[in-house]
Order: sequence, then structure tokens, then C-alpha cells
Amino acid sequence: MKTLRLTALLVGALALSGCTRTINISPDESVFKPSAPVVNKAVAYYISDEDRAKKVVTPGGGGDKVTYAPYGELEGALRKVLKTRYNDVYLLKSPNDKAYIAEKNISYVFIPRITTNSSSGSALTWPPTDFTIDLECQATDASGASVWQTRIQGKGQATFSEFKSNFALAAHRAAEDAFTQLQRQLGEAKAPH
Amino acid sequence: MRRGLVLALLAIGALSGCTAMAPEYRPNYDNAQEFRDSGEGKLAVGEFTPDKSDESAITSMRLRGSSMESPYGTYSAYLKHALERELKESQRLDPKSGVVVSGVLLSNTADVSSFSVGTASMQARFMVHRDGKLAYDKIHSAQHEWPSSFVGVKAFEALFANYHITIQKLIASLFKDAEFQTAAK
Repeated sequence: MKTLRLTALLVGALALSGCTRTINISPDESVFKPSAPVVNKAVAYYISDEDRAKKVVTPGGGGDKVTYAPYGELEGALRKVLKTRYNDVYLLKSPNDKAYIAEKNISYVFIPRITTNSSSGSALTWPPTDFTIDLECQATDASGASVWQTRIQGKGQATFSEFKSNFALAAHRAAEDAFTQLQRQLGEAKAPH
Repeated sequence: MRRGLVLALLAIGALSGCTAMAPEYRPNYDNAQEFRDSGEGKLAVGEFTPDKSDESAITSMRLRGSSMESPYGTYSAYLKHALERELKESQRLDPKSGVVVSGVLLSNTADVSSFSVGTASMQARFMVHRDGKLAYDKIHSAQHEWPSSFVGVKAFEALFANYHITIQKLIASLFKDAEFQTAAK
């Protein structure tokens, strides 16, 4: 009886170990408040449908992994940060849609490239304790010429007592860090304005 | 002898008696951009109510013995909040507008009883009143399905990642309707 109970528990543990757990890395967008004067220009950003739908898998703890959609779940943060700096923000269906760019009088097009990674120091709990977001952002003018680019790494950490109520906390902190840095850089003199 | 194995399997397959909160709505920015490009008229969002006085009468959730609550109180309120959010992203939301969109939630379902596929659907009647006169009255429906899991926890994670897409599709159906675009101008 005791051996069979132990076997049943091990079967349960094995079924759940090595699992890929779904998290959502979207940060709280209300943290991105205007920090520089608004530039009275319309800008746009471009994320392909493939990138928006793409899901990635990165390490968690206890042998588990986590999966999420970096572009789809961070698009809101990018839009919000651009809206704090520029008067109007559009979504482009194609990066070279000259007719739309001209019709809406768009001055700059921002194109993000996002890579992520995660890890955990815990052998027992699956949520990541460490999360990084590498954000490259290029801006082109209406003619398509590159006018600005930046590379940012956002980092986030969370302990067990912190992520008990939010399994993606390390990721949220990394996202807030990355996009706060982007917001600050967009407010600098050398950024498109 | 068998009881331990059955209990372990139940723990994997089910989340009996759990009540979870659905994640907050995330807008579809494609939806919002297309609606923004379709016109400039601003809309206010009026009341959204369930078809029956008790919303549970139009809600069907087969969630392996568990339940999922709306983060906005009711699912009618969820739909209202989602529409407000999409209109805000479209820059076409104005609470003071004389053009008001309201609705009646007719049905709301979610089903993760299958070990391979999760599904959700929603049907609602949308009305537009322009200065008090009815300008639009139509029913829209949307369905969405996704890969699910035998493991209860993973089935719920997939449900939380996908439920809001059903609402996105419902609002997309509304926004793409040429008659709604005309009523909203």
C-alpha cells in the first residue's frame, strides 16, 4: 500500500516536472508616465504578424520551462512609451508602406527586436527568479533612412516570497526596466524629435 | 491500492473546486488601428447587460470542476471594458459623445473538459444610438480554440492565455461590419 501510494505521488510529480508553464510578461503600463515634453509629431511602429504570434521557451526552476509571446505581450508597453513622447502613434502593417506613412504624416518608424532569457536558482519552484529582455530599437525617417538606434537590456529578479502571487514577476520587472530605459533615451536630445 | 493512483491522476487532470480570476483584457492593436482608419467619429460606451437577469443562465463554463470569474465583476462588464479599451486604442472613445454603443450579452462559454482542445465562444447584440435614435442593431458571435492538456494546471494556463482572444474576435467582427462603421461615423 505504502509503495503504491509513493508510486502514485511520483507519477504525479513526474507528470508535472519538465513541464513548460505559460506566463504573461506584459508589465503594468501605468508605470510609464510622460517624463519629457511631448513631440508634436506622428510616429509609427512595426511588428510583423509572425513576430507578434511567436512564442518562445526559456528556463524556469525545478527542471521546468516557461513560455510566452515576447512581441505580443510587450507591444502594449512599446505603444505606451511611444505615446508618452510623441503626439500620435500608429501601427504599420508593413515597414515600407510609403502611402500610409505619407497619408498620416508619420515622421519616424520604430522597429523593435526583442530577445529574452530567464533562469531560476530554485530546484523546487518553477517561476523564474531572473529574467532579461534585450531590446534593440531602430528608428527610420519617412524615406526609410535610419536616424537612430539603441540597445537596451532590462533585468528583473523576484524571490519566492515575492512571486508567490505573481509567477511572472521577474519578467514584469525586466519589462518595466527595459521600457523605462527606452522612455528615458527617447527623451534625450539625440533621439528622434 | 488503487486509491492512491486515482488521487494522483485526479490531481493531474483536475483542479476540483478552484475558483480562478480570468486575466484582464488585452486589446488587439490591429483591430484598433483598422477601426481608427475607418473613420473619425467618436463613440461613448453605454450599458452592457446579460440577456437574462441572472448572468449564470447564459454562461456555460466546463472547467473540470473549477470556475473562472470575470476580473470586472460580470462577463457583461468584461465585454463593456474590452470595447472601451479597443475604442480608446482606436482614439475613438469619448464618454460625452451623442453616439452611444451598448449591448446585451447573449451567451458566454468556455470549455476545457477535453484533454486536447480548449474552446470559448461569446455572442452579443450590439446597438448604436445616435442622439437617442437607433442607428444599428445586430448580433455578433465569435469562437476560439486552442491546444489544451490532460494536466489541469496547464489546461487552465492555456485558458487564461486564450480566453481574451475570443472577445478580441467578437469586437473585430463588430469593427469590420460596414454598417457599424457607418453608424459610428
